[in-house]
Amino acid sequence: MSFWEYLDDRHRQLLADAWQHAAVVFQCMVAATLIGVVIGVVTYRSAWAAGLATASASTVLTVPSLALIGLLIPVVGLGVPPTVIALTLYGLLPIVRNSVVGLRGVDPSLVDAANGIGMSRLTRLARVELPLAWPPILTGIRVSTQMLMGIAAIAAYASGPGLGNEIFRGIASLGSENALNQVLSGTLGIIVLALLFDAAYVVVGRLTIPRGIRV
Amino acid sequence: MSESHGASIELENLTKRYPGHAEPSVDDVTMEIKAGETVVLVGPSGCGKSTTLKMINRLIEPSGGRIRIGGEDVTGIDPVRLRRKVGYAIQSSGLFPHMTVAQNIALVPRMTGWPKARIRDRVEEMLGLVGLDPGEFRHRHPRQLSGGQQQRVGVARALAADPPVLLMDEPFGAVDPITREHLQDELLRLQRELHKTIVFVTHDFDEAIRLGDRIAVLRERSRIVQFDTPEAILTSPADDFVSGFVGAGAALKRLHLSRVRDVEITGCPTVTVDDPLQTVFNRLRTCGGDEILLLDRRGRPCKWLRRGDLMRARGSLARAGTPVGGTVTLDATLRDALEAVLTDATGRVAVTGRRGEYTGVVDMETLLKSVHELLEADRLEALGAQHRPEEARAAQPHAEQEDPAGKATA
Repeated sequence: MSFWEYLDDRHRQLLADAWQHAAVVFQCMVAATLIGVVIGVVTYRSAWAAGLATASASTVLTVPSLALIGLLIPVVGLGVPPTVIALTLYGLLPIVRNSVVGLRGVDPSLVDAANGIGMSRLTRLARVELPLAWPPILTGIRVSTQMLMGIAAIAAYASGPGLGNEIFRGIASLGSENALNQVLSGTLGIIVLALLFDAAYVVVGRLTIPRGIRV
Repeated sequence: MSESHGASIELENLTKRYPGHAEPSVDDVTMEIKAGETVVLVGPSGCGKSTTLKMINRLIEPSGGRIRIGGEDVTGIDPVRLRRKVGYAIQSSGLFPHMTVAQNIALVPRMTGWPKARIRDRVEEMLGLVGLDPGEFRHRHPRQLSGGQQQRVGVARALAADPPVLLMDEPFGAVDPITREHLQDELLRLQRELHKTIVFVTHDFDEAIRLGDRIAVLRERSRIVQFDTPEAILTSPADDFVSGFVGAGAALKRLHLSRVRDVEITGCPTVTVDDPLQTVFNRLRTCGGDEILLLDRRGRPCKWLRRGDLMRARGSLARAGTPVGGTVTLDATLRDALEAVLTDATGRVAVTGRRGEYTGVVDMETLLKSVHELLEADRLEALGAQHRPEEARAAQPHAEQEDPAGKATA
């Protein structure tokens, strides 16, 4: 069976896998963004705390994904839970780091001006600091998403959802007629998804970055 | 809309110590600023003038002392509430780049909960006040403005919620000299309309002279060396530090502070272009001096005519005489008048009124005499003022601080 015939034959299964892959990455990104920005907001004012947050997030990233998922299985079981936890943890680093860098990078004279005209801390954060730090944060989110696209494939190892199942099935049945097709369709599917997400971020950036600071 | 006028500011033993520093950054500053007055804090970099300013709206919390605005002790109140009543303009404008001009100006009114329609009107009004066309600038972003325009918007934002007090921290420090001069004039005009209490920080003494009703010269740890009118500081600096800071040319700088209308303006014989030639000849012969001023039909100075000019031009008024080079208005500073007199070959300049009509002439002699009189008057006044604080100090144990008359002279 040629690759095209394979795609034609299995498109239902492939689309379902792709949908699940995208859904799990998207949901984990939302969680990672919320947690990452909150960590950034809480820590950016102290160099020490910000350093600690970034260092912890980097440490998580150095753990091989297969190992992390493997370690999570005895704790939370198989399927979706280990996938979501692992992906969210991996997604944190770029977001935490860019939030901290973005928030610390806001011109101190603007912070001074915000305080000087009588903004409370929360108003200042919501109206001045976060909007100005948003472009680097969004870049962090983009980098995270690309990374998670690949890592999510490993989730199939823990019976997680997504295109990783195609790849693992192909690897397990190497030598059989469709092994190569399975690996190829899973991999290409992930690449296509990643490009689609990236295009979506460009649109999000156009819509959410204020005109006055757009480059 | 009726604007609120200024409120008095009293600083009492204001002190700032930073942990780990043996010396306080601001040491025991006591100062009374009257309502509606512009006070300039001037001093070398790092003397603590900015720290002192930022303690007034408590961007920097004082380590000791009291601040009273309009009689109310604000040392302990919620700083956010305090700052909404105190306008704040800083160097390089501090405009938020992600908001439009209108959004920047509307910030404080929005935070204090003004209704939408009133905010919109106020934004228009403020833009007009600082000389920017609302239609053109409302929707621009700060990066689409020149440095001077940004600074104007910064001032508009500071004044938007109509605060009685305006703090300005080297607001014109980052713009080119020509724009700076425009902005200074603009601020003077605003202040004539609004009568806010302005505390202005700068390290530029010339700026202090132009803007201040009173100037506080500060040295390290924000110690006040002299707190007086620009005239007094120029003519009788308290010590070598102040005279060093005033710099060379105090007498020349003094000229910035007086206007042409303050000095004696002499007349000179005039004729108009419509006068018959015979009148012109007669006037030239009888006037005593050797030249007369020819005015155009609207009474504006046009040409200087000397004896013989008409002969050489064969009786044609159109060709005779030398055109008037520069004129000064009644509102021009004596510095401008001196400049004009110095560049004129015969050492005099025509003074014009509001619509450019001739009102008189100022010459070198008048200027010299007026400047000497001014300097002498300043000196006498300063001598008088030096005696007064001693009297006040002697009276203090009895009067404590309650005596309003004592405050006024301090």
